Amino acid sequence: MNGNENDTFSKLILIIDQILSGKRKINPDISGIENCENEKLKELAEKIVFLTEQYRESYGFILDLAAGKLNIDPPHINAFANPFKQLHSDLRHLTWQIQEIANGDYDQCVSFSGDFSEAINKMIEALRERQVLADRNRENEYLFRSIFSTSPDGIIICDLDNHINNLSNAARKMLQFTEDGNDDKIRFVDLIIDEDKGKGHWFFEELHKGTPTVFAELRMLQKDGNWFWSEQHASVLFDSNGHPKGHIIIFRDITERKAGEEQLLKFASDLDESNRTKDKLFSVVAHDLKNPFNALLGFSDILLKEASGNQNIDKIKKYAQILNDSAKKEFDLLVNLLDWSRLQSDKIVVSPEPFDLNELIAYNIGIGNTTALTKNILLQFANPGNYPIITDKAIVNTILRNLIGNAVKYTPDNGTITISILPGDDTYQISVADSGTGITEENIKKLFTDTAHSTPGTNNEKGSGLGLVLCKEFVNKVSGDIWVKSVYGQGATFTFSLKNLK
Amino acid sequence: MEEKDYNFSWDQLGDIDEGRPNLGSKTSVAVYRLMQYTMRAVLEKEYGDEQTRLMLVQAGRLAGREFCRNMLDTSLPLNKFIAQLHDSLLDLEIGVLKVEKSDVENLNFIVTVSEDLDCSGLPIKGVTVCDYDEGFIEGIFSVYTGKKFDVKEVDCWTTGERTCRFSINQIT
Repeated sequence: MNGNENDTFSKLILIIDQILSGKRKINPDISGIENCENEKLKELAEKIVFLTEQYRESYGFILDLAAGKLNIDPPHINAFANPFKQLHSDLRHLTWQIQEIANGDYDQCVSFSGDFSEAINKMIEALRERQVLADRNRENEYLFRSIFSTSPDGIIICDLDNHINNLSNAARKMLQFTEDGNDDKIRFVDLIIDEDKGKGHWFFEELHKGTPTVFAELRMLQKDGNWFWSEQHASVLFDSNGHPKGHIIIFRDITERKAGEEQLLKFASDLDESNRTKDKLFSVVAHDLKNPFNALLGFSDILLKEASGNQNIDKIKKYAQILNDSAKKEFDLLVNLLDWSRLQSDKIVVSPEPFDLNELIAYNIGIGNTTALTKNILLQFANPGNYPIITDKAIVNTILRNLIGNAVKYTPDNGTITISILPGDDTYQISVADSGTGITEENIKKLFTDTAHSTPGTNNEKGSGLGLVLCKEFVNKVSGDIWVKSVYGQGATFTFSLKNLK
Repeated sequence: MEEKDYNFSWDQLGDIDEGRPNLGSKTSVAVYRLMQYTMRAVLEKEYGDEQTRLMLVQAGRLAGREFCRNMLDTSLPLNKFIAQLHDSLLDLEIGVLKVEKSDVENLNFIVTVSEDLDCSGLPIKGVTVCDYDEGFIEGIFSVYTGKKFDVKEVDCWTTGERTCRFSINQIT
């Protein structure tokens, strides 16, 4: 080995020592190599220099990698750096993944990167699940907001003390609340009218007891003081831990429905009344109206035979009288029936006119006397005078006719019927007092309402039960009233009031 | 790159399930490489190295386009499309695709394919060999985006790397 070779070996050993010592910056000095004649040694020196370059390049790359500098270009074709390039590549991919995740992309996953991929993929899965939940929550919130803002039913959300936290648009409109939300601080029960507050408290007590949904119909107050009927459904709202946090009340305005229901009930009542009227009419027609005809037909047959036979004038007169009585009763009943049926169909229109009650009472006493005299009853007017009035004369006439007719019917032979009139301030009270059989307390209750109620007269006269009901309805038509005082067995006094219909 | 009118259609791959009811649709990597590298050897001999490289890129591009049209859902947004591509390449055991960088606005990417079907485990030659892969990636991206791309293999197993790295850049 000559001196030049020896010097070259020394330089190469120095380079290798520097590499082995881990020195980063190596300056390979192989000056004078060109004078070396040993070709193998020259080749060795050149390769050690190339190796030094690769060492230096990979050293810098690894330091950058260790410092977290991933956005660097890795050495190209460098055997020292290759395993670190794999690491660099994986780290760059993981960084990209994390950036994508940060941007909300949970569709990626990391494959075959050992513990890294397992951790990242678990994180992606957790985030994806959270994202699904968040999306679902957002959808639910959007759905709730849509329902809240567009539902035609009002929605109110209260806390557990029933302070209103939120009102839907429809609720605001129904309750006439402003948009600024200042009205929202009141309690729900304050929106219920006083008469329904008890029901309102019950409403929430039921919820506190654990009833899932409570229903009630309550009248709710509006800002202007008016109220409306509402149908309410309430439920408890729970927080995420399942603890009650408030109430949700959904309600709708049912005022029109309520009015419809009331109207329907009235229709049903009217229909029932109409039905009873019809039944009564049939009953009267079938029985009461038919019976007098039996007398008419029977006695007219006898009269015919008598008239064509022995011409016994007394008998003929007697039968003619019976026929006349029957015809009158039939007529009276027919008149009442016609009046009553006209009343039921609202065809009677009150037509006030001026007249004197004195004359009308006198006229009806005259009519009543035709029957009263057959029972030797004294039918008298206690205080005749001038009693001018403006009212419906025909109606008052019907009332008087019926009351006097009834008095005659229930007064025994030789009794007394007294008609009196009590003038008041623009009013009159007319009484028909008889010394007849009187009326039991039980029957007094039914007198003016029950068309089925009728008791036979003292001479077993039949009635339809229609007269007093007719009187009551007629007297109401002319803004008056009718009542009776009676002790059973001691007669009865029927009184009705009239007022001037100016 | 213009899409030439090659005499190829996806149905030329045939009904593998019907044709291979017992052996199935998969084969060994060695068989695949046997076909590719014998063909490459013949082509290099007949047409030279550079012409062979270009032909392999063109074949890969055609394969990538058909693969994208027939196997991938191109209606997906980019991030979902890349996830789908990753899963597809893994499912078909072609390689493990990893994105290192992406510039979505300019459609520039750096991706790696580890355990690549074409090259992983080959002897180190000092030059890249995944020419077919370059074309394959380019074909997929061009069909998906409707844009033209330049794909270059930067690192390869055959240059001593552990993974193949490709730069994908839109040609503006």
